[in-house]
Amino acid sequence: MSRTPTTPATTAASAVSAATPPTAADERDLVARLQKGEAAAYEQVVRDNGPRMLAVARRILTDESDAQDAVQEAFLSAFRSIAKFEGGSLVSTWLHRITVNACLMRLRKKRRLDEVSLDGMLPGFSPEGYVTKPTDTWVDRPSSMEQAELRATVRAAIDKLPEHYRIVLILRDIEAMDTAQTASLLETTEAAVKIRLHRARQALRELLDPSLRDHPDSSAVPSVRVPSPKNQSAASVATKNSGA
Amino acid sequence: MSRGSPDPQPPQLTADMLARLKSGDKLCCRDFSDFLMAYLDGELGCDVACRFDQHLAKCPPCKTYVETYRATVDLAKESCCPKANPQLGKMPQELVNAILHAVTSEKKCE
Repeated sequence: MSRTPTTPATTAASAVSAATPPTAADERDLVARLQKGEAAAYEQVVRDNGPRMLAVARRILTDESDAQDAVQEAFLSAFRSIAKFEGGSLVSTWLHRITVNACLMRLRKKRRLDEVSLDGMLPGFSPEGYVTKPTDTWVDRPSSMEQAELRATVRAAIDKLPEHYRIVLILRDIEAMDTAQTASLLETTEAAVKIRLHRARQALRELLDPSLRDHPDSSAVPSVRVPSPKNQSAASVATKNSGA
Repeated sequence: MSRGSPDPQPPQLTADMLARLKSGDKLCCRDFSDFLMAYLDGELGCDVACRFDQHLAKCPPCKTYVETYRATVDLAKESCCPKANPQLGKMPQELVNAILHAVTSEKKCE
């Protein structure tokens, strides 16, 4: 998708908007102007919502070019269907959903949402169902300088999750979508969303554990545990058996 | 999740395990781990939740697991929020221009 600049830059690059929420009257006015095809209204919507939409796209699609293309597609898709917008939600909420959809379409095209097993990223248990390895507490929250490093570690760990699980974690825990919305966007059931979210959190915990343990020297736990088939949790076995 | 890909199918497993828990069978760490999210979300019945509470009170590894599980969720939220990543929401001016240009072009074609 082309991103050739066509008009002079009118403002500096904008950051995520922290503007106060629009009133109902503002929203009605904005939608009416969009439906009339007012260029200034389109520009206002792009400037007000673009940064947030791009942040969402960057979280879901790790590739910058893909993220920008998805945002452009989302705006075009939204403006094409603005005549049908009935004001059931805020424009920003509507755009958020369209952006997530555009991102998921891209992932589907790339077949990055194919099922991948989480084996090796879930906790291991003895055949009797008890913990086999010591569970250590985690260090207290680090200083602000270390905080940046920690956040980078967490983001890198999230990116290591299989796509199938990473997306659910992002939509539910980070984008704060509810289970029903997530299930609808992912074309699956609410039960499946809940299971994937729990497993994604468990896997992320396993990935972070070596970096955050209070007593790293005593850790006998590798960065990713690979339990023997006997010691896999019931959930892990169910995942494997179901092909998830 | 994606079109054509199978969903995980633990409902049967879940039903079996819940039935087992309700029947009074001993709760193990694996049960606790598998049903942790439902427990934290208050989705287990009172009787089962009480048995989870009892297990938690006498199982330090599971207690630590719950704490680190919760910390994982908090860390994921904090690490990905725009406040922690000011760069995440920076929108290049050329992208704004490209979107507005594409919109204008579409309007002209209508």
